Amino acid sequence: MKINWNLEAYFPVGMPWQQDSKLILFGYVASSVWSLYCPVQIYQSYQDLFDSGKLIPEVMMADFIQLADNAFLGFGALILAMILLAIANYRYHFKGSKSVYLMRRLPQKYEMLKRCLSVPAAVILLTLATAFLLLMTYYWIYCAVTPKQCLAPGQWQKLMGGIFL
Amino acid sequence: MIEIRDLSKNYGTKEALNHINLTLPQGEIVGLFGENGAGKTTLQKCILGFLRHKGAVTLDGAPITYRNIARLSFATCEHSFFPSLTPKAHMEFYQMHFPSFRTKRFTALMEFFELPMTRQLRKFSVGQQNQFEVIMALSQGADYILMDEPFSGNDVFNREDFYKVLLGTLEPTETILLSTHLLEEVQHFISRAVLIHQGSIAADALVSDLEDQGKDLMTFVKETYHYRGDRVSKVLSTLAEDEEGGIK
Repeated sequence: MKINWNLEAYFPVGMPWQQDSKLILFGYVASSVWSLYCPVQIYQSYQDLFDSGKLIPEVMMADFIQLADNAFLGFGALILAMILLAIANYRYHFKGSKSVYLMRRLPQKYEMLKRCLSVPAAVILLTLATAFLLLMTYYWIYCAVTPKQCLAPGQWQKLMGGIFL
Repeated sequence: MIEIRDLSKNYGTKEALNHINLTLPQGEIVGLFGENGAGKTTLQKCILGFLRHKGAVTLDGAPITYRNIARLSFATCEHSFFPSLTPKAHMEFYQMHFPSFRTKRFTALMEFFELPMTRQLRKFSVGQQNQFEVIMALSQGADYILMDEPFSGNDVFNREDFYKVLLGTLEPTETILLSTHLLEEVQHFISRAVLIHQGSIAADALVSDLEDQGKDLMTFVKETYHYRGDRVSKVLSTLAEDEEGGIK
């Protein structure tokens, strides 16, 4: 299949795709910026380990999963928005007319599917990849800055449990 | 040739089409008639593959799929265009997706009906939208043009123009399946009449045969449906009797 790099070809015909693209981009950037809440939390928790520049004895760093909590909500909201966008894209073909009849008569079998699902699916994949990369980066920062004696054991297991359970 | 074999369609427990058998050879203008809910629209949507059904619909022996669907076009009173696009944008979209799009015919018809090329379709009147819907169906470059009540909302002069334009522009290989209630208007324009009644084919006749028999289309339809002309007068006289008898 030939790939068309014109973004318009991946939105329903006649949809205000520039406006939608801007909103998606804004959502993506805003979610990424919102995730900085996690390193800010790590920094605050790190500061709490010290008193007048000296490490407080027996004090432990908060678990990473607690510090990361809420930081990735923006990505979750963006994924939810993309699911709703896919539904809206399909419903668009019933708004004001039944343009679905034209789309279903096209010789290009997957044209309607492409225009309804491509952008939401791509954004969901990109969001998941970005969220994963940022999570791993923040986790690396967390492990790197936390003094060994302040690091509670089982952080990775707790993180995985938090993601998948 | 479109061949419909043993086509049945149910909506839940309601039988919409019942074992339909029909062939549509190339070059015919076929009128599809029937009462409201008879199954005309359902039949057209089944031909186009929009509805799941039992039985087979083939185009020159092959099932209708995305490989040959471009040989069929569809004009519907529900409209299948994009309201936020202009006719010009539609033309470009069709040119991109239908290699046999007839640009010359499209331009000529747009000019004939004096439709603006650069105004959004949602700003058109219903009559203009109907005209545009039919223009797109005629310009797609399809061999089989299915039309479902395409002129509802258009005035009589407008419809008259359309019939003339249709007859003047169609090529001998183009086939039209026209579903309409406007029997008298289309009787001189169609070559064949298919009558559908409660989901079954009630009659299928060539207009030339009817003419040979000295029948007009309306008489043929009334005969087929066993239309009782005295029905109205009976009801009116019953009502009149009731009023005279003091029943309120």
